Amino acid sequence: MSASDLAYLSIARALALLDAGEVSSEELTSSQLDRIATLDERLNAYITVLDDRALADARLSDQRRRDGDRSPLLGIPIALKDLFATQGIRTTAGSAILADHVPDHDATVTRRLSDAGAVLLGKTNMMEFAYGYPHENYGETRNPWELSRTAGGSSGGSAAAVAAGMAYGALGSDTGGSIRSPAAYCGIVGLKPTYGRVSRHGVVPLAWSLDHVGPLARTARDAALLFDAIAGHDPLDPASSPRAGTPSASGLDRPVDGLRIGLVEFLFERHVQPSVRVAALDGVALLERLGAVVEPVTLEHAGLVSATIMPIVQAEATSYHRQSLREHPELFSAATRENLRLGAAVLAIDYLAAQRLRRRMTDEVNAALTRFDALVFPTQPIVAPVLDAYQIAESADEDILDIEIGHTGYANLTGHPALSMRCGFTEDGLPVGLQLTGRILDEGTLLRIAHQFGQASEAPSRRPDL
Amino acid sequence: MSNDRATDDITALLHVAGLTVSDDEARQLALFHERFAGDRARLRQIALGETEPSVTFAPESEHDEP
Repeated sequence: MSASDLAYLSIARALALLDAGEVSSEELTSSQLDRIATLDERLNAYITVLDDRALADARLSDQRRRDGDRSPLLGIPIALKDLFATQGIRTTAGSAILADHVPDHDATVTRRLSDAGAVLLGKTNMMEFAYGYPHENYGETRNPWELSRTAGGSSGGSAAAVAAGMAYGALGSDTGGSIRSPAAYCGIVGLKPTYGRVSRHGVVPLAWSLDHVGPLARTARDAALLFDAIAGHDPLDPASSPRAGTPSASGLDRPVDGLRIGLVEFLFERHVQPSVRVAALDGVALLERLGAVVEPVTLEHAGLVSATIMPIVQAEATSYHRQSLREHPELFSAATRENLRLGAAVLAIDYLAAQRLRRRMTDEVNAALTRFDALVFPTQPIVAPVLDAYQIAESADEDILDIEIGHTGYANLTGHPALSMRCGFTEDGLPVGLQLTGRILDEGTLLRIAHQFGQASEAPSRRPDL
Repeated sequence: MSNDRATDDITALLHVAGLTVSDDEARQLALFHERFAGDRARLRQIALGETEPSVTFAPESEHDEP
């Protein structure tokens, strides 16, 4: 097996090889660390790399496997966005304010991955405090498919690391699309679960009523394996759902024949670049060839997503950062600082109007999902923007973040699970993502559709040329 | 709304939150804040209009003034 093939193994395949004794966790971990050493100077996907510690953990996991341990992710090297608390390991949230912050505890998801046997490679780069703008101390993560473009945000480091074969999987957070958007730009799978399905304890918040935690992976099966390891009730997160879902990895092989999928026509039009529309419609056609029944559906409030989510994000984020904003405004990047200040000017009636509209949006999506098993539209209307594109603009039509959030923010507002999967490429070779939205707690159907789609796709294993 | 008025307004709102900005920063923030004003007026009409007298929450009308 070539070094590149080793680095690009799926988690599922790596686990099979580990079980068969054909590869060790130390070899897997070394392959990732070697690629990080070679490529990350160009990609800037990691803030902290745990070379020696990761290798020591890998050797320990190899010993555990020899002793009969069969934990579900035993020996699999993964990465965490740098806002998940890691005991004894710096956790910056991409900020200068937390540049030297070393938590004394693990986030719940950090602990759950550790309990599942995963090996932590390092902490990935991200937009400052997950708001959408990079801090100059860390810089922007470049897109593995074209280095002059962004990996997207805010979980861009996690997406780029997975797409570049520098981690077998990763976790990100998603407040307005921060898992799905970089997943789409980097050509991988990103899952934002149902609100409350994955604990946020120990995760630096952006906006608590919109924040979600989920996996990024190269295949739907890998995303399911990661998701199953981190999902479940956590009394330490006040928003954690006590409702148990079913494991998602076990149902992936069921065909999608007969599933009903609603095509949200408006979101095939709003700001959608022609090349993105072509690739997304090709993806829809593949779903139909797989036996899914696709019909148009109208979401009355689809044009109000950005208008609704922004006052909530701004007000909640400013509430969280208020003290730092007063005492150390110079430590924020200019764009984050401006957005946080704008949050102080959100009126209570606007915050409440947004929350009220949000309830209607949730009812509307629930109603649509009584007729459909999933909804579909492009994850983003655009391909990965060029570097330095994320700035606050005086016009919404010119604001990249605004354009993006209008496509991904719906599921944050309503709490429904949503997944981005690669549906094709533009003529320029840039990946395009197709987004699926499902019923509450029904991540399994989304992962099943993505798995079947990935199996049938013409270029499931296409990799960036690095 | 004039830019001077918008600048004064956002300076006052930030002051209430305990935040101080320079005049230049306030002018820039006022421009961005104006960008959201239309969206928020629309939200109020859609989300609050059904239970509240619409004139109370119509920011573009004379009733918006205290």
